[in-house]
Amino acid sequence: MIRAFTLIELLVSLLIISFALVISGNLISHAIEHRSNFEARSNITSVEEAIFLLTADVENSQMLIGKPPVDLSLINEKNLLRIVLFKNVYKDGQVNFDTIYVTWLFDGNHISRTVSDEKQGLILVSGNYTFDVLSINDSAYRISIKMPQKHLSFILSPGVALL
Amino acid sequence: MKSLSDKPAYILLETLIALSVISISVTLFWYSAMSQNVNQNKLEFHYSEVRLLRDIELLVQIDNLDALDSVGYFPLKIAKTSDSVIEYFTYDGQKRVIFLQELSY
Repeated sequence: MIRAFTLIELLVSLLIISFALVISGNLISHAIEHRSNFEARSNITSVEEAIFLLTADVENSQMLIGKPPVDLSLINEKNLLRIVLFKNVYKDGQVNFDTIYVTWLFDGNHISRTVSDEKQGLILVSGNYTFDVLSINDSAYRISIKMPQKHLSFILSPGVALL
Repeated sequence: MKSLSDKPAYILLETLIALSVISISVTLFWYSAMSQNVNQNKLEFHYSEVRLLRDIELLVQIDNLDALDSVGYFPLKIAKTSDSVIEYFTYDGQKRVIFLQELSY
């Protein structure tokens, strides 16, 4: 005859199950919170990378004849910031040299970078944010990006070369 | 040879092994999440620090350091202690000092 479970065995089983339920419940809620937190912070990292790339673009921009190296235009009515700059790049051929223009667009939902006549720009950041542009002097601007989790500022100064 | 009726219904050893495996998995998961958090902190500090140093250098060159937005470099805590010194704290709590005279050309 098969022996039945005793009361103490059932109680121990219930205790273990209740521990397992509590731990797994905590773990799942922590995992969900961690995931949402990590996604928000990844978005901040994307913005930082976009700023890093933009400042590198500006530092490597070149003045064309009759054109400033960086044209920064703020279209207030559409909440758009467009930054156009000219860069010299390597290209296969006899001269091995070409000039491209790079357009950065801040529209409150995305930050995108378009090279020359590309139809579709590369979207570097997706997510809601607001921005503010402060003109420091004729050739320097402070751009502030406000996201729900963080506020970032950076200086764009096309006329100044870092040594 | 033991018959079926001789086997105990409750096997403590197997339960303990199962619980050990679960606890090891949970611990590994927990450490992985913590490590991800620490690395993300380091990355944010690094980007903010690079941005801060670059911006200070630019602003010193155009002689307009007042335009520095001290709250725009979080998680760095920035304090301008005098006209020639800016201090900030890194992710591990170390204080770093920037001497502005060294940046002016």
